[in-house]
Amino acid sequence: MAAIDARGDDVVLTLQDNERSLMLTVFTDLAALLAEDSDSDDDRPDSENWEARLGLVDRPRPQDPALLRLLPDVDPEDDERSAEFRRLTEFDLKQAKAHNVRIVLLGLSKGNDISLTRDEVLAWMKGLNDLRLVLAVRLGIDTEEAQEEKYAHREDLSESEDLTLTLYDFLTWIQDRLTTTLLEQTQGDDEI
Amino acid sequence: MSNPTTPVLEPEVDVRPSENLAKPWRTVVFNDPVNLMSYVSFVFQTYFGYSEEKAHSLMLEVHENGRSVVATGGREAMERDTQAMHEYGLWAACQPDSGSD
Repeated sequence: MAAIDARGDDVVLTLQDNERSLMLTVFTDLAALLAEDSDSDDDRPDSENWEARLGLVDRPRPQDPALLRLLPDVDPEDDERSAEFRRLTEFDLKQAKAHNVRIVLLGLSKGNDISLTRDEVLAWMKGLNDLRLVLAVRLGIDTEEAQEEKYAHREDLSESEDLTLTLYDFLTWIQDRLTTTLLEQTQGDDEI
Repeated sequence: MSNPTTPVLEPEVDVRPSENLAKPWRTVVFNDPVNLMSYVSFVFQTYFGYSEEKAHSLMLEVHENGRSVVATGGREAMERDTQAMHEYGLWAACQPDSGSD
């Protein structure tokens, strides 16, 4: 079972082999989702697409609800302002999220004992949160009632849904532990 | 000594409705089943610099009322805050302050 401990200013995450390989798989999927640009016929990598970087081209609202959850409207009640804001900012938001995922993947590539600086822990927390958002959309968990329903009728879930829910719980545990560890460290700093 | 007559420069004032500048905007965070209470509280402390108590009570407001206005101010600042919340993965929106909440 995974363990998370503070060690000085760092946080050490210890994973089992199967936990680490599973996380590598699902975070690689998340990286691929964030790299997708299916609506564009521009085949340059994002880094060379200066029109997009400068907000000069419209960016279509994501069709995939999971991607839309990662890159939401700035105001769901104002389509016009949301489209403009998306044109100006979505590129940067997507890059920031992809960067967090790269930090997670880099950490996972180091082995089962992963020592993380405070900044790296923050990237992990954001990356874990984004991955959980995607899994929740895939599982149809969009309200707290829907979530309770999933857990209450677990025996009705398909095998793959059940595995996804187990993975979701595991990621929830890691994100929560990383968050509370970082909060404890911050509060410890304040007392000095 | 000369006393040159100073030309009076009349600035060309472009009169635009000022309501967009004066009107306050707000950053609203909505509840969703994914975001952890610990994480939401952490984000409010870290990003906004709110005290543990204030962050905790805003987090509870999101959890119990389904939404909370976490910041108010000019449009640009509120858009920046909303973008930051989206980067943290919180479900947030920047809206004109209609004074309803």
